[in-house]
Amino acid sequence: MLRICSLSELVEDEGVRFDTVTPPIAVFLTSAGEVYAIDDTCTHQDASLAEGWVEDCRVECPLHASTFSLLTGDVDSPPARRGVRAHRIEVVGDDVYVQLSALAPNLPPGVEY
Amino acid sequence: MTAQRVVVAGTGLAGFTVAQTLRSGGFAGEIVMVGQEPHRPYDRPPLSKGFLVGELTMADLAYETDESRLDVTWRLGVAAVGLDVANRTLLLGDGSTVGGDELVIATGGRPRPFPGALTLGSVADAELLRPALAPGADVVVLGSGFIGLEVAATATQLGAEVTVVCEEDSPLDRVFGAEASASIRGIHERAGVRFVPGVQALEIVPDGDRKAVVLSDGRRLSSSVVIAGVGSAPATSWLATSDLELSPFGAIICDERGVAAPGIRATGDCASWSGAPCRHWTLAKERAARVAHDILEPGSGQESGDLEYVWSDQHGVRLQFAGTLHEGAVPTVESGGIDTGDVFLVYRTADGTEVAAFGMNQLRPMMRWRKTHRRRSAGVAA
Repeated sequence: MLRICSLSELVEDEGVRFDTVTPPIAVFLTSAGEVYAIDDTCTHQDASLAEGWVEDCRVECPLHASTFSLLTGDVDSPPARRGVRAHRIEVVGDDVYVQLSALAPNLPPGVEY
Repeated sequence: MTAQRVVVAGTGLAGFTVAQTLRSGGFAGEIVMVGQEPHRPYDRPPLSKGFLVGELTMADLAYETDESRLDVTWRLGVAAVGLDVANRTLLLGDGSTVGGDELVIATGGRPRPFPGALTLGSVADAELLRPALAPGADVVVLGSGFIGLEVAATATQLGAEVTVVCEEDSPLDRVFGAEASASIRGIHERAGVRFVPGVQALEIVPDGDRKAVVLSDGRRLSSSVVIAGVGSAPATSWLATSDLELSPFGAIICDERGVAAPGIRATGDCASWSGAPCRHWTLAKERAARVAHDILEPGSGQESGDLEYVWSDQHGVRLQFAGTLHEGAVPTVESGGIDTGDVFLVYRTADGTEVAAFGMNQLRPMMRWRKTHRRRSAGVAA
């Protein structure tokens, strides 16, 4: 697993984007104290999900109305039609480790990393 | 839930959302979707942006993927031309009929025509328009709403010279106020778009092998192509002889849950609910989901409590507006600047209440503002 950040870098109910991995990922800290990671780029259009709204273990894209599960990455409704990848997180002390998904990312048309 | 067969007229966002929500809610009966266009449901906002510029293909716009095909019976390329209200049955353009226990009308809106000008409302319109926007074209856009401004930005990106005729003193100033309008005008003018404000286009007349737009102040604008973005109207002319009641603007008159007649609901741009037209993408999606939930379980459809929200992309800038502009609400610059394409405005009434927000490339503050100002009475999870 890869150390991605420290717990203290995260903000409750918000996402933080990390572009130290490719493609960038968004790491979320929920009000329940859980940490989740998914791909940061919405699958519909180039937007950072870390800037979205976190509620009920889902994040709503800051541009349009699609929401993605923080647990599985699945998408609920248009305009996005594909989910994002979810990554496995482990927190050890103040260190947040990520195991990146082995699946291919679903990047939006025209976006490459 | 007693319905065995739901018929949906219209395959846009509203029709698609009705069918998708019915299926995800466990509806096991038949769903018939009738669409005038030959295409399966697709995302329309990119028609004036990524699709028009050629970056997105038809396959990119489709709402379905190979893994998420809607389980419905398609009747595509055939329009609904009549309605038997008592029997909840559509008459189609090929002479056939299709009826159901529940009928949902979601035929959307159609751009208002302007004689001599092209309009943009479908994939076919965009494909017709794209070749006319090549380098060397000089384009006149009638109207400075989002569609007109997006087409102006896309045409500029494609190398055309663009002039926008707007009735307002500055684009969208009656909608968003002077500050937001100046910000929007700035990004266009810095990209080379010219505005002709405060005038009306009266008519389009031939000008050799070109066209001339005759303005209300007597001027004439010569152009290679004229595009009208002067609003849209409900696509309901096919209901004129039915027993459904239409508003003076052509919208299907519904109650507060979208019911137009027993077993017949209408949603999206073609419908007005308790006197409130739909107008926006986000509201069309929300209302369509409510309609589907009500079919699944009467009374179960809920308002999200989200505020009105619209967005646009112009010259690479993300424009977002949320809320409702009350009379006398005054905007304050919270961050960024009017002249720098990155302004974040919050509008307040005289008593300090925040009623609306406008942002350019201000995604996180806009998202936070939208969600923290939701209507709390609407059953929003705390």
